[in-house]
Order: sequence, then C-alpha cells, then structure tokens
Amino acid sequence: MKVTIDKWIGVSTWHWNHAQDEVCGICRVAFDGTCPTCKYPGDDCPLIIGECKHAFHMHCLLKWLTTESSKGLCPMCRRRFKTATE
Amino acid sequence: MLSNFPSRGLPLSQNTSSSPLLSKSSSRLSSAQRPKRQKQLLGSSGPRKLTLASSTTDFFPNSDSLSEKYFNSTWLALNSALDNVFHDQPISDSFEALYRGVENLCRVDKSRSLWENLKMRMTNHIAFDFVKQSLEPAVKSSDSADMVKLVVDKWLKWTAQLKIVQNMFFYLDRSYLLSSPNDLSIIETGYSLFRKHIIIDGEIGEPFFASLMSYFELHRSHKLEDTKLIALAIDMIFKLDVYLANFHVRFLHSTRAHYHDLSEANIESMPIPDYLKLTMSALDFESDQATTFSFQSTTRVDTVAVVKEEMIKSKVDIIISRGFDDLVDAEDTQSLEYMYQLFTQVKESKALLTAFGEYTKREGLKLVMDPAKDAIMVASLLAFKAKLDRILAASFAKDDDFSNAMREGFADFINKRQSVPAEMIAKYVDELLRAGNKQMDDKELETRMWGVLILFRFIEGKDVFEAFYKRDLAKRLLLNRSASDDAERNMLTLLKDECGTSFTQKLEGMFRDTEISRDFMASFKNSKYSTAKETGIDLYVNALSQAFWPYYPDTTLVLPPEMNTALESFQQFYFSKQTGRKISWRHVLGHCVVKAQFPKGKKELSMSLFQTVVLLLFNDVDDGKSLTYEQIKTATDLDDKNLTRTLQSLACGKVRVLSKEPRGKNVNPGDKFAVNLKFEDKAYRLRINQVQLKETPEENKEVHEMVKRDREYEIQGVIVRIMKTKKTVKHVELIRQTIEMTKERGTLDLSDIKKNIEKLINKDYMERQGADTYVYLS
Ligand SMILES: [Zn+2]
Ligand SMILES: [Zn+2]
Ligand SMILES: [Zn+2]
Repeated sequence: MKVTIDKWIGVSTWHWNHAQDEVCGICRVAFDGTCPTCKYPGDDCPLIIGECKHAFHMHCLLKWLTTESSKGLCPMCRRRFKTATE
Repeated sequence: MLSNFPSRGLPLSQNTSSSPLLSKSSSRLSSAQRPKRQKQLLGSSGPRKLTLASSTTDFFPNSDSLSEKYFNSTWLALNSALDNVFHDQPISDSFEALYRGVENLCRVDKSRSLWENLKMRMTNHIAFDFVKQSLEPAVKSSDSADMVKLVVDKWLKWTAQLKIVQNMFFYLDRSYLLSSPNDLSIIETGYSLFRKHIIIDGEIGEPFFASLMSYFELHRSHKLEDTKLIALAIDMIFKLDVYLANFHVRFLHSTRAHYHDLSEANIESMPIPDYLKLTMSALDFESDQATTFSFQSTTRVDTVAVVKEEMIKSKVDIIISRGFDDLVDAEDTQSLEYMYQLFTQVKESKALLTAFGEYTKREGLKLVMDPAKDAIMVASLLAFKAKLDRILAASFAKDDDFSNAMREGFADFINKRQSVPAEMIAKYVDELLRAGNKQMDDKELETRMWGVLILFRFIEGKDVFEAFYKRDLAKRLLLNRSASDDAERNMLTLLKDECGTSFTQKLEGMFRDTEISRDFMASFKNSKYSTAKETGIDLYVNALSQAFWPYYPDTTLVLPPEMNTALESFQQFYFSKQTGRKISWRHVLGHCVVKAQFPKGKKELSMSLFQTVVLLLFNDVDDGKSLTYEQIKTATDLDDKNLTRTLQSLACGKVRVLSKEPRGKNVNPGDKFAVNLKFEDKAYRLRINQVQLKETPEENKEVHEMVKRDREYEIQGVIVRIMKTKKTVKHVELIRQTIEMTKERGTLDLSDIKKNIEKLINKDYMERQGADTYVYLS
C-alpha cells in the first residue's frame, strides 16, 4: 500500500513572545486578550515592550502616558519608558 | 222569558239625541273616560250599537220597585245565558237583547249590582265547574293526571267563554268597570279568577306546575313529540302574569335538579370529552328551548347559568383530575377549548391554568430527567413545546396567562437537571449546523434554530451552553464541517440578540480568526515559502487567538520529514509577517486528505492528522507485514490515549484500512497492525476522521470543569467589586448583591458563593468582622 498526502489542514495558536507576566500591568487582562477598548487581539491591539522589559497592551500604555501623573514613566518600575528596539 | 224586556221590538236604527238622559249618559262616556279599547273589543259594529242603545233610555220605568223587578228579570235572562255559555251551549235568547238588557241596567245605575252578580257567577263557574267538578277530582284520583292538559283545556275554554261574556256585558265593561278605579275589566277579572283558583291555589297549581316540569323533562330527553301543549301553557302563564313569580322560579329549580342529576350520573363514568360535549349540547338545547317557548330573556340567562353551575362549576376539580392530562396527552384541542370556554364562563379558569402549568412542569421534567433519553432531549422538548403552542392557539385563545404558565413551567423543569439541558441544546445546535447531517431546507433550519433558541431562553446555565457551543463551533470551523456559513452567522445573530454582545464576542472572534487565516494562507500559497510543489502537501493553517478558542492540551507527535518541511516553511512565512509572536501547534485538530492505493483499489481518505501519521508508517512496511502497538507508539510519540483511539478508528471502526491481531473491538499493548489488503468500499472518497468530531468523556468533563472554573473567577470578581465599593458589608447583603450582579449568567448555588467568599478571605482580599460582616482589605 502507498499513502500520499494531498492536503493538510493544520491548527495553531499564536502567543506574544514577551508575555512573561501573562497579564498587562495596567489593565490586568491577559496579553492573549485585548486592552479594554479593543475587540480582537493581535494586529488590532499589539503589545509594547519597554527597555525595562516591561510589556503592556500598547493602547493601555499610550493612555497611561497621556495622564499627568505618569510623567512619562513605566508604571511598573517608574523608569522613563522607552520602547525596546530589537 | 224575555217578555218583560222593555226594549224588545224597538226599531234598531232609531237615533234621538234630544233626551236629557242620553246627554247625561253621553257625557259619562265622553272625554278622557272613553275607553281606548272600545274599538278593539267592539269591532266595527260597536259605535252603531252604542247609538242604538242610548235611544232606548226614554222608556225606562222610574220607580225603585219597578227597577228592582226589572233588574231581577233581566239578570235572570242574563244568568240563564251565562249558564249556557259556561256549559258551552248556544244561547237561547237573542244576543242583541241580552246586550241591551245589560245596557239598560247600567243606565239605571244597576252597574254595581250587575257586576257583583256577574263576578259571583264567574267565580262560581271557576271554583265549582272547573275546580270542584273537574280539576280537583283529577288531582285526587291519580298522581299521574295530565294536569297541564286539563288546566290548558280549561284555560282555552275559559278564554273563549270570557270573550262571549265580555261581548254580552260590553256596556258594563266599558261604561262602568273601566272608569271604576277599584274594579278590573271583565277579561282581567276572568284571568284573575283563573289565576287565583287554579294557578296560585296550591291544590291545583302545584300539581299543574309539577306536571309542566315533567313535560320539560320529556322535552329534554327528546321524548316529547308535540310541543304545542307546552307552548299553550306558557302562553297562558304569560297572560295570567304569573311568569316570573310562579313559572320562572320553578323552571330554574327543576332545571337545576335535572342537570344536577345528569352531572352526578355521568361525571364519574363518562369520558370527559363526552361530558364536555354533553354540557355544550345541554347549553344549546336550553337556549333553543327558551327561544321555542318565547321565555323571557332572564330565564334564558339564568337557565344557562344553572346548567354551567351544575355541570361545570361544581365539578371543576373532578373534570380536571379525570380529564385534563389525557386531553393534553391526546392533544384533544376541541375538548380543551370547551373546557377553557366553560371554565372561563364560570370564573374557574384559574383551576385550568394551574393544571396547565403543572402539566407543563411534570411532563417536561420527564423529558429532561432520564439520562437514557439525553440524546433525544431537545427534539422531545421542541415537540413538547410545539404541541403546547398548538393547544394554546387552538384551545386557550392564546391567553397570556396560559402562555406565561407554560413559560414558567419550562423555566422550572428545564433547570432541574443542572447543566445537562444546556449541554444538550448546544449539541442539538451543533447537529443542525454540522455538514453531512439530515438535509433540510433553509426554512426548516431557521424554524428549528428559532425553536431551540426559545428553549435556550429558559436555561439558567447559559455559560454551560456557551462552553459547549464554543467547543462544537471550533470543531465545525477547524474541521471544515460547517454546513453553511450563512446558517452559522444567523445563529450567532440570534444568540447576540438573545444574550448580548459580551456573550457572543468570543464566538465572533473565532469567525474572525478563520477569516484572517484564509487571507493569510492565500498569500502563503503565492509566496516563495510554500513547499507544496516539493512535498506534494497543500498545507493550510488556521492560526488562532487563544483567548477566543477552547483550550486544547499540548500533544506530542513525531511528524514524517515531508510534513515537517511543510510545517517549517509555514512557520518561516508566519514569522516573516508577524513579529513578537510564537506558535503552538494543536495537532489534535489537524486533518488531512490522503490518497491510498489498496490492492483492491485507490481511495481518497479524509483523516485526522494522527490517523494520517500512523497510516504513513505503513508506506515503509511490506504488504502482509505488521507493526506492533509499541513500534507505532515509538515512531509517532503519540500518548496512549490518543494512540489507542486512533488505532481503534483505523482497525476497529466502520472503515477498516488496518487489520488487527488479535481481532476485537479494543486496542491493547502488544496488538499487531497490518494494512488490510482485502479493504474495499464502493465509494472513492471516504471520511474516517469522525473520531475528531466525537466528544470524548474527558473532553466533556473538561468543559464542565472549565465552566466551573470560569464561574468561580466570575463570582470572585463580583465579590471583590462589591467589597471594593462598600468596604464593609453584611453577609446577607453581599450574597444578595452577588446574586443580583450575576443573574444574567444564571442562578448561582448559595454554597458556591459562600465557598468563594472563603477563598477570598484566605487570599486576604477580605476579612470577617464579628459574626456577619466582612471588611475589604486593600
Ligand atoms: Zn492592558
Ligand atoms: Zn487595544
Ligand atoms: Zn518598567
């Protein structure tokens, strides 16, 4: 008998690489989910990672940075927040 | 005998108006006192007689003794005539002379005496001739004397006689009685005497009415051929003005007795549909009877009410207990409609409503409580609901109270089996939406989706439904088993309308993931990364956002090299497009289309990825040679559970592409597997990955556990939110608010709430203060 594969329909799930804390430090929602204002995770609601290695939903962090009290600091470690470059 | 009658022989046509007596007499008859009925009673000859009679007065003797003598002789003649009349014999004297005799007596103020005499004579006739001579002996001689016939005979005779008397004494009637305030007319007096001596008198009246009532009994049993006699009796009763006081009351009484007996005789033994029909026809009969005999409307109304009271109102409980369940079982909408109408009319619809509600609960409970019938639970519930809906429309006039009772019944019984109905409803929807099941047109599909959604509305454990629905939807989408994208979307819209967006958000996310994957795979196919040409494998990957999808455990699997190549190429493409992400493979959901060349023919097989990987091993095994369970396990690295299921589906199922040694339904370590060289099947395309669709007991347990876990998180979240705002709260208040805030999800177990309060205390979110108060710890 000889068997050959014509088609293969596979299933995968994707996760964020840098989601070591699992939940966003601002909204407390899992990184696999979205910030409170978004519906779909992924491209619609990306993560942002600081030089300090702290990760957040991008929308959560941008909102945080617009507040007076943030003073441009990372809400976790209070260091100036700068986006990490690969 | 009439030789002394002074007016005899006078020319009839003479008319003189000069006499003072005449003018006096005329004035007595003129103006307002002139009787209105005169024309009626007298006929066309009346006025002529009047003029004629007045002309005779000139010849009247004046002395008292003479007038006394005249009175006596005239009365003698009149009395003799009355005698004849009352004995139905011809009058020997001229009627004209008699009439004038009366007139003459009246003109000499003998009206009073004449009237007393006549009245006495009439009274004697009734009391003696009718009563003493005829009616009384009849009553005494036999109980069964036909008193209606006897009395009506007398009545007919009397009315005929009275007419003659009235004509004979016309002048008295009109010139004297009509204007005398204390006297009745001759006819009225005649009626009054008949009424007094025959109808109201107990001796005759009672037997008469009893006899009349037995005529009605005969009529009710349709044994009365001729209703004329009753009609005459009723006519008499009206004319004698004894309808309400004497007839109506007795009639209602005997009607009540009749239907009381009828009801007692049948209520225990007659089938309820027949009993209801009997009642309906009794009502029709009584109503018709009232028309036939021109009863007053009050009698009709009261009679119908009496029938309903005796047949229905006093038997409500027994009618329901003997008949209701059977009628609903048999869907006897006609009888149920009668029941509804009759019960409503006697203001007992509440009893029917209660019975309907209880029936719904009890029969519904039977459909959900038996685990052996879980597979047909939803179909049974839909049929049950449809049947009750038909009854509501056909029998209960779509009465809102009844609809509500049914809905309450459903909400009650359907939640008695915890989460099972929710699970079964989800599975039913899966069957509807899954390809390859019973073919039905769009309309039928939509009807069923609506129906099942109505059941869903009653479910308290909506989270259980959601979890199973999600798992099933995932399989339909990922295994390409969805019957129609439109139907899927329709169902999603229905659920969204029913439960709100938060309920369907994750489900929508699932659809979106598959759409994004479709676009993504199109670009992969056209990219330099695709290895379809080298490996011959057309790879398609659904890349899912974990948050939307059911959780699938990691599995181990060793892929053959060409599959690995294909998979690697996809990953490279994926990472070239998506940064910051990693990928986990959910191979348990992977499936393939393969071509397999068997000795007896080539087949195209739809298989699970696990089946494919196992079958591929046999490419390197010579025909007739076998692989052991252990060899396959080592080569694929599948865990025992998955491997056993996979081998079972290949070697023990309907389509056996492998043969197993030893034979049997179960797969055990040590078993040997070889290609089934005798494999053949009429079809070219075969689907053997049903094993992936089928829910395993472990999977089922997992879903339930997941629901429970989510519920716990939700309860804890709610409790924390309440504590955060209140800071300090009493136990009872905390429980009440928690239930309030989670009610959309369904009713929570009190013990669940208490358990989670304990957990939060242990996690230092809150602490106790005194016996019944909690304090929030921030
Ligand atoms: Zn966030
Ligand atoms: Zn967002
Ligand atoms: Zn930081």
